[in-house]
This record gives sequence, C-alpha cells and structure tokens, in this order.
Amino acid sequence: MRRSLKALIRKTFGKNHTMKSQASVITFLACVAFVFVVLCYFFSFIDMYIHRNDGPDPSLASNIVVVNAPDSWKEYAEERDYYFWLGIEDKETDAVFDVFTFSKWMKEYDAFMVLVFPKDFDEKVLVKKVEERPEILTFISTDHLEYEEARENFLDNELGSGYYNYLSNRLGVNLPSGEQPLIYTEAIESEKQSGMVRDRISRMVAPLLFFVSIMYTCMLIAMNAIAGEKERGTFASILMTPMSRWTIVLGNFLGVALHALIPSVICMIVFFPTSIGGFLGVLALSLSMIALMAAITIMISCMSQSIISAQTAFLPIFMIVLVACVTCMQPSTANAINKFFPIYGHFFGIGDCLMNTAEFLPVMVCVLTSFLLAGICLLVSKKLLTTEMFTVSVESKSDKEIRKAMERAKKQEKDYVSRARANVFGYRPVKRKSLGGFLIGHAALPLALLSVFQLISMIPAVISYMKTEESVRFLRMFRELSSLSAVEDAVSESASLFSEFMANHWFIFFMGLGYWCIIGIYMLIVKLLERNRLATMGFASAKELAGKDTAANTWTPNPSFLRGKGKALWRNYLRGMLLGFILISSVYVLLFVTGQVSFKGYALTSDNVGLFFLYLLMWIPQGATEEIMMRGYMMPRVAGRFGIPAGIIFSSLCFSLLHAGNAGFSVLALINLALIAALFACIALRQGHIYTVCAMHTVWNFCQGNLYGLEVSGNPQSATIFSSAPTKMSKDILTGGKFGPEGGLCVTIVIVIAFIVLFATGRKRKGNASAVSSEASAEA
Amino acid sequence: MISVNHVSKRYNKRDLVVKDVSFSVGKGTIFGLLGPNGAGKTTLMQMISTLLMPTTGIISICGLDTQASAQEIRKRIGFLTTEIKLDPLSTPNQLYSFFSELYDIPKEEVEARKQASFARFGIGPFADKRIVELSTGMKQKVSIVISLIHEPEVIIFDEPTNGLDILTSRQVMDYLLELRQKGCCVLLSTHIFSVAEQLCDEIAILVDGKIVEQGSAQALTEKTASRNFEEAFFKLYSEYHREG
Repeated sequence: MRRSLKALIRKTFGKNHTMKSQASVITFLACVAFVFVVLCYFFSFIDMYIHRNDGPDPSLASNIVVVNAPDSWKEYAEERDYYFWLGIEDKETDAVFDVFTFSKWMKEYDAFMVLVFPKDFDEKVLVKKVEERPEILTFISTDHLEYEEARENFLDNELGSGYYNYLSNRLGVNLPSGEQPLIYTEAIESEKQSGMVRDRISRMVAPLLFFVSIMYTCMLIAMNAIAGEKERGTFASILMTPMSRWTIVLGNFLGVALHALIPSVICMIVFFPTSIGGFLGVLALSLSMIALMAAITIMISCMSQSIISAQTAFLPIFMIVLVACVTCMQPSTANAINKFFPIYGHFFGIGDCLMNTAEFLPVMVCVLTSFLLAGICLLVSKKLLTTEMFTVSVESKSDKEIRKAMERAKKQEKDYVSRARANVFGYRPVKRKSLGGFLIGHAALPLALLSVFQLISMIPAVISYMKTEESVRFLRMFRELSSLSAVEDAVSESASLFSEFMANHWFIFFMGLGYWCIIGIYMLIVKLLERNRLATMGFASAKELAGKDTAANTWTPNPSFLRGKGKALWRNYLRGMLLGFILISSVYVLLFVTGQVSFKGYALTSDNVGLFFLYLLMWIPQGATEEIMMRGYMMPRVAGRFGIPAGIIFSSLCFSLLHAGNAGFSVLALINLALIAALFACIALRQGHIYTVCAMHTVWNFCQGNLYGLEVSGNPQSATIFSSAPTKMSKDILTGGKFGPEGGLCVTIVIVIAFIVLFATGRKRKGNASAVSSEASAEA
Repeated sequence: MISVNHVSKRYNKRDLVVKDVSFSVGKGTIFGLLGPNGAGKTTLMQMISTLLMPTTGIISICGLDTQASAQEIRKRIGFLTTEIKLDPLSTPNQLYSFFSELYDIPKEEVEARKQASFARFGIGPFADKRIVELSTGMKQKVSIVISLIHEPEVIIFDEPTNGLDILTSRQVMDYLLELRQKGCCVLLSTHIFSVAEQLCDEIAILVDGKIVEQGSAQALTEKTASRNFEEAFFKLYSEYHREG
C-alpha cells in the first residue's frame, strides 16, 4: 500500500499534471480579481501606515479647524487671542457636510474639533427669523475624547455665550436665546492609528490569503486528480489495479494536501507568527484547513465525471467560504462561540495566533472538528468509489445521446418553442425558459436597466447638490423624522428634489448617454445571447422595409397612413414624428379649449437654451429606449409564447407600471399609459418595425415637456419654448395634476379617438390586409 | 478459471442489460463473446473484471467471488477495453513505472520485464514519446503491455483488434495465442468474425443480453447448417432478435 500511495501522490506532482488541469477561466479570473482587491486593501494600509500620525501631541491637540469663518468670528477670535492659544486653522468650503474632508483636516492639523459656519453667517443672523436661524456645525473627533471637558467649555462659554454676546454688540442687534444661532455637534468616527496596521493585516488580510490560496490550490489539483482522470478515461485503469479504494482516495488526498501546503507555508513565512505558540497555532489551523478543503474537493471530484462539472460543483462552496470570510471581518461576528466552528474558527484563529491573542480551547476544538469532518468526507469518497455510478460510465455515449434525443423529440411536441403562438417581427423562440423566470426576467430587465442608468446619471447632479446649503437642510430633515407628517414632507421634498435634477445639465446629458447604453445592451442581448437578427426587436433592415409587407398580422388594423409609399427608415421616422405631434397637440388643444390650461407665451430664455438642446438630444434615445424595451423586445417574446393579445397587454402594463414611481401617479394614469402603450403596440405590429413609434414617443414627450411646457409623466420641465399653467378652474381629473396630461381624462379621450381612427380606417381595407398577409405567409 | 452463473444486470431500474448468462472458461482456452453493439458484451466484461456488480448471480474467478474479494481478483486479471485510455501526456516509460508501483511489482524485476515486453511489441523506440504522439496501433500495444504488466492468469480483452491494421492485429492475435500456450485463460469480446473464428476455442453468441448459442466456430456452423461461420451468426441473430 505504501508504495502505491507514494506513486499516487507523486502523480499529482507530475510535470504535466497541473498544466493540463483546465481550471475554468472565470474561476481563475474571479480569484485574481479577489486577490487584487485584497492587495489593494493591503496597500492602502501600508499607505496609511506611512502617512499616519502617531496620535495627537497633547501640547498641540487643542487645535480647532474653523470653516467659512465670518468676519465677526475672526475679530472675536483675535480679540480673545484664540489664534495664540488655540491654534486655529481657517478653511473655506461649500460642502458643509463633507465629513471626509473634515476628518482629513483634523488629522492634518491635529485638531479635536471642526467648527463649520454657514456662508454669509453675519447676514443671516440679521434676518432674525426663527425658522431661518443660522446653524453652526461642530464636528468632533472620537480620537480626542480626553478633550471632552475642554470642548464642552469651549462650546458653552467661548462659542455660546461669549461669541453671541460679541455678535449682538457688533451687529447692534439683540439676540434673545430663541434667535441665537443653533449649534449642532457631530462626532466623526476615526480609529486610532497606532498598532492598527499589524492588527488589520493579521486579522483580515492574512486569513483571507490563507483561505484563498488553500482553496484554489485544492480545487486545481483535486479536480484534475479524479474527475480529470475520469474525463480522460484513464481512471478505470487505476481502478483495475489491486489497490484498495481507500488507497486511491488517500493517495489523491495526500497529494492535494501537499500541494496546498506550499502556498500556506509561503503565507506563514510572509505573516510570520511572533511566538512559538502562535506558530504552532497557525500551523495546526492551516493543516486542518488544508485537510478539510482537500477532503471536500476530493469528495466532489469523486462525484463528478468531468473537471468542469467538478469545478462548478465546488464553486458555490468556494463562494460560501469567501462570504463567511467577509462576515468574519465584521466585528460583530467575532464572538466567543463562532471561534469553535471550522471556517470561522480558522479565520479568527489565524488572526488571533498572529496577534498572540489566541486561546487554546477554541483553536483545538476547531482543528479537531475539521480533521473529523475531513475524515468523514474521505469515508464518503471511498464509498463513492465503490458505487458503480461514480466509477464506470454505465451507458455508452451513443446510447445516452439516442435516449436524450428521443426524450427531446417527445418533449418538443408540446413545447411552445417549436410552435410559437405568434410571430412578431419575425421572432421565433429558440430556448425554453421556465414561466416564472420568463415573466420576471421580462418585467425586471427594463426596471433594472433604467434604475441603474438613472442612478449613475444622478451622481454628478447629487454631488453638485451636496455642495449647496439646501442639502444640509434636506439631510437634517431625515434625521429629525419624528412624526408621520414629517415623513410625508420628506417624501414630497425628495420628489421635488428629483424635479430639481431634471433641470441639471449633467443629469440630462448623462441620461441621454444612459439611454444609448440601454439600447446598446438590448442589441447585445438580441445579438449575442439570443443570436437573433436585430429585426426581431423591431429594427427592420432597409431591405426588409423596402420589401414585402413584413407585418402579417391579419387582425391588426391597416390604415393607409401607416402604409403608404414611405418604406425608407427616415420616412417612417418622420411619419412617426408627425403622428406624435398630432396626438399631443390634440391633447393640448383639448386642454386649452376646455379651459384647463392657459397659454403663457414664449418662455425660452438664453439661460436655458443649452438645457433645451440637451433635452432635445435626450428625448431621442429616451423614446427609442422605452419603445425598444416594451414594443421591440418584450412584446414579440411574450407574444411568441402566449399570443399577440397577451404580448400587447403584458408589455403595456409593464410600460405603465414602470412609471408608477413618478410623482402624482394615479389609477387613471396607469390606464392612460397602458392605453398609449397599446396604441403604440398596435402601430408597431401593423408596421413590422418600431421606427415610427420611436419617433412618436420622442415627439410626444418633447412637445409635452419642451414645447407646451407640461409635465411629462410626473416630471416637470424647465427648458420649454412656450409655457402653460393650469387655470383656476382646472380639475386634476382632466389635466392629470402633477403627473401631467397622461394622468387626466383628456389623454384618455384623445387615445380612444386615435384607436377608433386606427380601427375604422383599417377595417375598410381588411380584405387588402388579409390579401397581403396571405401573400406573405405563402412566401414564408 | 472464470465461471459465470446465472448473472443478470440492470442499470437504474431499467431493462435488464444482461439476462441470466452462464458460462465458464477453463485454463489455456480462449473464449470469445460475439455480438452486435449494445448486446451487453462490455457490461458483462466489466462485471467479470469487478468494475460492476451483478444484480443477480455469481461470478467467480480462480475460485474467488468478484463481490467478496475484488481486490484479490484484480491482482490476477488483466483487463483491457477501448474505454480505458492512457494518460495522453505521459510516455510509455513513465506509465510502466507508475503502474508497476501501483501493482506492486518487485523493484528488481521491473526493468527486465519492461525491456522484455517492450521488445516483444517493438515499443522500445517510442518509449520516451508521449502517448498523444503515438499511432493508434502503438497506443493499443502500449495498453496491452500496461494492462498485462503484472502477468495475470486471466485476461479479459474487449475488442482487442478494433481499429488496428492487419499487421498490428496479427501481432496482437499471435500474442493472445502465445498467452494461451502459457496456460492463461483469455476472455475476449469482438464483433469481427475472422478473429473469433481463428482465435477462439469456444464462442458464445450474445444477442440482447442473452447467450443464444455456445460452442466452437465449427460446431456452430454445422449446427445451423450454414456455409460459414458468418452466415451462422446471422441466422442465429435474426432468429433470436425477432423473438426479443
């Protein structure tokens, strides 16, 4: 046995062994990325170590950073000689809540406190309104708790009474306590630096490196050892040797373990434990960790028939262990009981041993438990090797393939894939998906994409907002949420905040870019994932446009204004622009005639011409994106599975619900949006492409927001050619209130009329349409 | 030396692949299993070579039961199938030394044995080339050498001449006859009539998992009143397959 055991171990070290183990590229990249992140983390500590300060110097630590100091304060400080005995550093900034900068300054100047005045503090004091009392923010560092008394004294006497008295004298106003500026105190968490680096590295970086290196090596070697032999067909010859199964398992296990020992020895040299106890602890912990991981990987390897399947099976375990590692980094996990369990125990144990704070019992229990678990895994592996299923490929490949092919053929008879319910834009389903996944995927994809890109494009707007003083008020509002009405206020404030962003150049610019990105993503999905032509998402090529009538849906209306000679792309687009303009103008005229809005005249000023053009550029991809998502992508796919009516209804409802988060959303708005969507869907179905509806959508939104100056689905506009305002007698039910016309009955009326026109003019040529469709089907 | 008694095999609750098969092979004989693809030849051979366990019935080799003393039996049998492949990146030399360790062949003997068997098959010049670089015939020869490394008494060959040219298959067949002379017991499966006819002392025809007829090639030909062995096989096959 010993000889064969050695031979097996040696085999894992064979020259060719590791080279040909086909570790999946993604696993490898994930590991590289992970190690990279860990290294970044590590280097940031080094950086901090180099640039750190050795704690505050007690003689200097009475420093204060004063931000946006008003003249009155400067004079007061000079009079009181603060500059002499306090060490004051003056700074200017607009971002009065920027704690990161403040804590940086505190470190830089050894200050225990930052005083932040609002800009134009002196002028604000003079206003003397209770609700507009200026606020002085003070940030204190938690590193300097020993200065608590000095700080309290300073805030109460020097800043409080002393400075306020000076202020009222200087400005010549009487400041009763109700009108004095408020002082807010804020603690900034910043950890003590000394001794932190070694601790962090030992407790976080070192165990992580141990884990990752051990797990990766085990996976690499073990998956190749047994599963790889099975894949290459060489395992049977090993099984046929007179070795016991136990020898095979043990030989491979030891080979894997020895491999995993190499990186852990390197880790041990790098993070060298400073005491003998610590050294033995780390050794025992890493050995038990290696045993556990090697046993698990060997077990999985025994179960799998190929390297890839073995790696796929191990990947979740790898990820779970990594997640466990990350949770170990949270201070709350480091309780006494967790230290007894494997993985957790290993993580904490290695950290503790490196820092010489380990206890004997938890480490021992953890080590023994893992050895026990490893033994169990090895026993299971041995059992697996005596099970036919895992040793011999019981069916010859051709048999298996024939059986599968027969099953597939049987299944296909009832499979929707082979018999699509409808063929919209030439789309044919190619893969079967579960119903739930299908519906959720279709509903969630647009929402996810839109929210991601909207969030990204909001970043610059939010950053510029955070620098204004209003942001302070806004943030404080959330901190002081105490009653239900306060919550309501906060929500409405947040909504109005969004409308403020709508006037931000950068936001509009990035939104436009984002919409282009979404269009690109959808194209990639169709091209790369589905491997379909772009025409299946409504992007018919010029050839298809010029050729026969692609839409062969007999039951959809076929009015002349949607057919015509214009087969070129731009003609269809222009037609859409015209139709969109007619629709929205009818809505506006209806609103105007019924006296719901009043026309306020030309409103575009030189200030917002730029914004106006940005809007113009933004609406083009915006309209196209929503059409692609709903009509171009979702509708054919849902229709292919459940039929055209289901496609229209589902995509329209999704479109409608996508706007549910906008301000002023109501049931009527839901119905209206769904109606509009259905109208667009009918037009797109009729035409066999979505160029026209893209244009309609774009022009509708543009005219509504930037021509007539109405709200677009709850988003108020800021750069508009004409402006309109609701009259006194206007009713929300007609105008839609905050949501814009789509929330009102006027749009309902116009869309219903549009439907009637569409069907009425289309029905006359029904014979024609069916002739076209039968022709098309004959050609198909 | 091989005795198979009423052996049946069923995979995962599906139909029986091998149905109540019984035969025995004595010392110094070559026994052939002849049958079309999917007749159960490979399954039967895997059961005899202890890789699979029979669902019912008993197989014993050299008086040892395959289920109870598999490890002992593996010391005495050499098994070679088309399914078993050699590590493509190793050389014949490496493989020989690796398997000699796994079979626990005395160290002193290894080199001499290797020289002898490599010379027998003309592997010598290729001993340090990787398996991938070798021709199909050479690979098969190396496989034979490796699977017989421990000089077993019972040899089980699944399609030994499959895919080999006439020269190489001749070599292999000569080697099998040589083994018979030495007193080994050879069980081979094939679907090539000429091989069966030339080599086998006894032939069992396997159709749909059942042995339908057994005897020497000549006896079978006479029994079915055919002109040659090939015709005899077709007659038997069409007769029994229809019934099944």
